[in-house]
Amino acid sequence: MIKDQSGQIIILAFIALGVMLFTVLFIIGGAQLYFQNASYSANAEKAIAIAEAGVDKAIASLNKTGGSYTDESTILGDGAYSVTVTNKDAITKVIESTGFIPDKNNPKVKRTVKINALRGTGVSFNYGLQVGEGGLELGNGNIIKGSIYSNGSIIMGNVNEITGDAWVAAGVSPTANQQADCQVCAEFVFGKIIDGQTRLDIAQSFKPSITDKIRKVALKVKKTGPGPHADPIVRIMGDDNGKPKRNEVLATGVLNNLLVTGDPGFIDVTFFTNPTLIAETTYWIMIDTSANNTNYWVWQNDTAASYNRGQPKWSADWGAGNPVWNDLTGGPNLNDFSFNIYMGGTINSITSGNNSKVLGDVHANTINGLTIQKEAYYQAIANSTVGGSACPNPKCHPGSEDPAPQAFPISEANINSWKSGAESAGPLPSPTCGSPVAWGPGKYSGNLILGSSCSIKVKTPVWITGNLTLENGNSFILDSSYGSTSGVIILGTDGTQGYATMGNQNKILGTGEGSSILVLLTTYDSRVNQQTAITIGNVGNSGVFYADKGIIDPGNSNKFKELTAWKITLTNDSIIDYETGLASTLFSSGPQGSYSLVKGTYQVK
Amino acid sequence: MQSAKCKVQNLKNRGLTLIEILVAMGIATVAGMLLLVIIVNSAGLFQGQSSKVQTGLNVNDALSKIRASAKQASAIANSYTDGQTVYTTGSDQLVLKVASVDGEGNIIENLSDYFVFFKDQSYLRFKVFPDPSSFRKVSNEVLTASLESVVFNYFNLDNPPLEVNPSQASKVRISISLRQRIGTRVEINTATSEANLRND
Repeated sequence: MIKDQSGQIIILAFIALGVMLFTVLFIIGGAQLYFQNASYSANAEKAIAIAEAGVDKAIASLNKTGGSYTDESTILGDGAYSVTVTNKDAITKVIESTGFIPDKNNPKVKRTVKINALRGTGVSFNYGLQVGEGGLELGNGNIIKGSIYSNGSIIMGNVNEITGDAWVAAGVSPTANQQADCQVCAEFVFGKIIDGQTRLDIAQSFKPSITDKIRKVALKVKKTGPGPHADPIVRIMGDDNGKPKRNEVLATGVLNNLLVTGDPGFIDVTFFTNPTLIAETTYWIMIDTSANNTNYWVWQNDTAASYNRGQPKWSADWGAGNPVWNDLTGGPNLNDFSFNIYMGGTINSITSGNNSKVLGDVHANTINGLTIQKEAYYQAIANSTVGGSACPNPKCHPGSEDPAPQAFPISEANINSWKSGAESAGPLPSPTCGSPVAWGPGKYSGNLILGSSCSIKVKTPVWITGNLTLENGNSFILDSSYGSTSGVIILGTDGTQGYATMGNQNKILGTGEGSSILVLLTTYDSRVNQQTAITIGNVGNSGVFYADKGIIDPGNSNKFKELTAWKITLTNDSIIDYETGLASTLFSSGPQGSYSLVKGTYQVK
Repeated sequence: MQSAKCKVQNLKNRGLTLIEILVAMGIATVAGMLLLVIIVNSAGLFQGQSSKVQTGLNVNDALSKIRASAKQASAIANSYTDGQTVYTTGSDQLVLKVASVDGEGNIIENLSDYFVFFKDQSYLRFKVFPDPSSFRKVSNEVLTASLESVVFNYFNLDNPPLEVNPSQASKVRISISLRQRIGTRVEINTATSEANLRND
């Protein structure tokens, strides 16, 4: 019996071992599953990063090869990418880049990034109406489908409607408080390592002559290299014994690289806030870039040092614990960068007659006579309702800071670049009505007058040096080869010519594809004599019009996609029907332009 | 002789003594207890580690989903209204405006779908509201359970970034905290990530 029962302990041992083995295998199995899941997630992120690297490489290669680059497969890091470039239309490339982990032949994970790239100059029209310091005068019965941004006051008649927001910025003095332009002009390269100097952050000091708020600066810069360039950050900083004070950033803004060209030009930079600067106190304008030895920047330098209230310096890293700031070659007080500082200004307001309403928010120093459906931000308000009742109520925000002025979406440097492009394309004869052959690109010398019902297909840029007169029923239509990109017709030369006069039923049209537009742009300067730069008749006119120094009189009963001007007088019963696509308009610059990513087309598949 | 045989026979036929049984039961009890302790500890360890790993995976997957959506977004929308429900972008809700797509997955210009991420009790929920012309499918997913909190912060592209209103933001920071129960203990696992709006 005892013999029969021997070995019982081994059964017990097997049971114990079985339990332990099961537990261990269960834990290992679970850990393996989690490891695989975690690896997959990490590899998916890596695959996207590698695919994006492929897109960057494709854009750089397109610019290097003048657009002839088509595809490649490359091993990179822990994986590989494969890029294909196809033509969407004459000037649009579709770049599709797939990242593989660990390799293309046996991928465990793959992700595809797709974007469109276009040649040209990007411009963002963010508002249905953008108005400069001249302000906006509305008559009666106008409808603005979109938002308004005005650097001057808005005065409205009766029964106007704004479907978006209305912004009225703080008034900016038309003259700069401090300015420096070169007497003996040189160029100071930055945003790269040059001559052993890591010039990433450069600064110019200045002393305002008054105590007031800083509204904007203008910097005379240009960009170099095929692009794309990142937008540098511009800061106003305090002074720390002759160098920018790291811990005293007073205001921050962005230098929009799209406004900068390959030639030096004053580029406006506005700030998110407008701090008060104290008279006769030293401050610094500082431009903050990242190193890029291909695509870098130049700030125009005055080696005569004609500005005697400040000096320039550069640094490798302004944000370091103890940043080192260096003088330009030759020592202090031998150079000055070119800049303008705008301060102070006037109190701007939005004022209306009867029954005008804003369906969005209103931001202005002073509000009078409006029905505001959403919220109001102001210093003073009268005769208005906000969110259905008079202030105070929770939708009223008294004591709000005045909005900062906005820079216009097209810079003087952009316009000069288009003029150069037109000039290099050669002189243009008079256009032929109804011709199937497009007119332009090129430069047309003198005044252009079109009678009635003349339709002209155009390729841009077209530069008309004189004035433009369109009687009735005429149209300029951008050639279909421009696809979803846009074009521009420029009027005028030196600010004394280039006004446009239009009768009825005239149309300035894009290709009809996507958000393509054709902009009629004048350089006519209305600020001195208050003469209208673009006068539009009544009924049936349409288009996009731009007069950054001029007055636009848009007439009655017309329909526009966007208007930008120093001053606009919108008389009666007109409609501004803003298209959201205008926020990322791309102007074709012809075969010399560089490719850049089209915003809004980034997709991960 | 017979007596000796009888003795051996008796010895063979004899049952276990009480002491033997007690000793055997004692050994079995100790061995059983040891086994039980091993099983309980292993299971506890397994459960605890599984819970931690699962929480980590959940938080990573949720962050990955939000980051991928933000990268493709053209803007951060102030709000989106679905019938009686208004989703408003803020510190605990994110409404993204993303370009609509056609049947081949290509972007349709000027049309937008809306992605909403928000806390729904202990769930992080993700909803897609496509434009009527979009081929993107309506979606209502739970990205993770056991959600303690989700916080969205909005920044511009300054260096260093400045916190701004959502409508002005080009970058979103997402912080997700998940609650996990390990035995009687409760642990909070927090992870943070950032994404730039590539289409802004």
